[in-house]
Amino acid sequence: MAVQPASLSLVQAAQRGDDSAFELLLEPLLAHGYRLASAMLHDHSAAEDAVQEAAFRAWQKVDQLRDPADIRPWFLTIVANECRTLRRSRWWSVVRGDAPEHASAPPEEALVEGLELRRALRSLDESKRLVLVLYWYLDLPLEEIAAVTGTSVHAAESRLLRATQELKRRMEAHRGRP
Amino acid sequence: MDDLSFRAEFHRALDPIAPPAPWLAAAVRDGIRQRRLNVRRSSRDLRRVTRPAWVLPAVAVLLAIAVVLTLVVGGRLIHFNQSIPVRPPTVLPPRPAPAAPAGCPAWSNPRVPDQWLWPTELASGGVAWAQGGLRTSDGGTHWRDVSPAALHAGNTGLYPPGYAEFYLDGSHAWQAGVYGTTTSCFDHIAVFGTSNGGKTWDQSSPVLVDVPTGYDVGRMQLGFFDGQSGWLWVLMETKNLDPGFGPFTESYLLSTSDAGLNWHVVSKISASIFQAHSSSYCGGVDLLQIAFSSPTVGWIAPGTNIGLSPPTPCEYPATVVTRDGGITWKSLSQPTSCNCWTGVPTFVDQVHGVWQISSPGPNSSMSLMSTSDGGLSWRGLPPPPSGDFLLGLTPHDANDLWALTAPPGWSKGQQASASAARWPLYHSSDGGKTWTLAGSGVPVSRGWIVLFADAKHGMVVQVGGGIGNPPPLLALTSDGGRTWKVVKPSLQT
Repeated sequence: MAVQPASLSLVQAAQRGDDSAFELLLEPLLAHGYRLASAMLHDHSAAEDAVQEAAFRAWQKVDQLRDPADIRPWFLTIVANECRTLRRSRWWSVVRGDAPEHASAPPEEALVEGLELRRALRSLDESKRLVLVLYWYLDLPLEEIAAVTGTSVHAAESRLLRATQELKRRMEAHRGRP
Repeated sequence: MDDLSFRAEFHRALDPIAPPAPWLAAAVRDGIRQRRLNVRRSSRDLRRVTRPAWVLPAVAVLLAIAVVLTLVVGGRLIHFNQSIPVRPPTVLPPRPAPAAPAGCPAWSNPRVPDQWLWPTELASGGVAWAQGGLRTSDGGTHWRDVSPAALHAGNTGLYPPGYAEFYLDGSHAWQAGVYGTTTSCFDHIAVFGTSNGGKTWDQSSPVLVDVPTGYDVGRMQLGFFDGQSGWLWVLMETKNLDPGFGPFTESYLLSTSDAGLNWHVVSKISASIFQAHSSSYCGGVDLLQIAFSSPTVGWIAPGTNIGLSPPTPCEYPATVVTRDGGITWKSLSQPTSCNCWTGVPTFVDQVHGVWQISSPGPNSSMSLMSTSDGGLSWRGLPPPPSGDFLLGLTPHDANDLWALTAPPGWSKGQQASASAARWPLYHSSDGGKTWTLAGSGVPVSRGWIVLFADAKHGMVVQVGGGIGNPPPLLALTSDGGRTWKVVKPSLQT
């Protein structure tokens, strides 16, 4: 999903306190943030909360943004951190638990496949899940994934490769389980 | 499976859990606008209170000079033959914080109106402290920011970068921050301490540590054993897009024995101490906690979390322990046989503490361990009758424990309908060996913090904020949880 690069003047206006400019900067990124949060939290209402909080934090931190080209990885970093904070909140397990998914009707083939991938994804640690979602679901280039994860491009690529292999192994292991 | 097919499978699997949300943009925009408006109102109030910030400290300096002169001159007049001790002014005139270079960890913005109250310490006599130097002396109805003006250093932000705080009792508190220059993110750390509930504050000598190029101070943690002895943990992270969450690299542990006026480096603690248990450590600075039971025994561990999957070495390093005041650290084997979250233990004095253990997975539950020898040995305790609970300890009393549990069937999405359901509170008067239900429950719709000053006086905090969440409320008890009074706290300017 392509996002038009933010202009420097818009970023600078937002940093000077122009709220309309900030809204213009952020709006194209909300869908990305929401999909990232949904994939990390496996709960769309929690994802809405996470995006809301991340957007507010982004407003608070907009003066830390140096390069308009960084805006998408910058905002997604904040979303990812917000998701992590939310998952660490005290009552997360009470709220969400880890109840296995059940289809209410005989699932179609596509839903069964989706179930295996989601289960396998949830069984991975957060850092692996993040690179997988950023690459395979949000279609981010490696340079942006490296920026979000705070690593080098080489390290991000290496982590992605290992995470993809592990995900596929776990999907095979889950295949056929009720 | 080729990449194209795998990508398509990803979309098929995850699109159903991210259904279109056309209302989201408008909701986010409206939410931010409202919070911005409230923040700016709060910011104006804060500036009204703090400007001119130099006046009070300047008066303090002049008064101090006047007192000294009086003593010196007066002493000479009546032939004092002892030197008069000169105490430096208790609050230095604040220097306006210069604008730091782009990319530095930033000051946090003024208080978020719907999430402004996070109590952390309940003392006797109706005194309590909350994050950000807030203090109440009437049991929680009215709160004031008693932070020193020098902490803010002319900046309208609420917290300086790397902010840390610690509240020992009703009178003693400390706040610390990182201060930069126009060309550097880091110049020094300053620690401010009070022993009279915030009426006056002492500022430390500048605390200097080596922050290499490419790194920032991501976070700090502060703690005191008593009014004089304490520790400061300064965690560094590689520069990243979201300062404060970046990868943990190096850290400094410092100690003080003069109430925080002067600090010296005890050791440098590197992320490599965790690599004995993993091929690489990829946790963030926000992941880790430190705790000391005494000046010699301490722990570092990842923060308690009940996650959806078992902790893995990459993200969740093993717990490490020191028995020489932080000079050396060793890996500690899990206190139980499970591959669990441990967090750090909590101590009520230098020998008695409890340790909450979280077992992850679909049937996640909490268990408790206790120590009476400062953490050298631990024994299991039966948990309260619930799978999950918030633990509250009573200061200086290892026998009185409290456990707040969520009402049956409660979930975040059901807050509105569960608003009438009380949150069960369990009490133990024998250090956690047995638990009994205290009263008929706490009248909050989301209990997030539980604090007790003694066996009778307690506070359960309903933290506000978020979409659709209620404002902050405090439930207060003075009879050990049998009855509760709900108050709506307010921030006084």
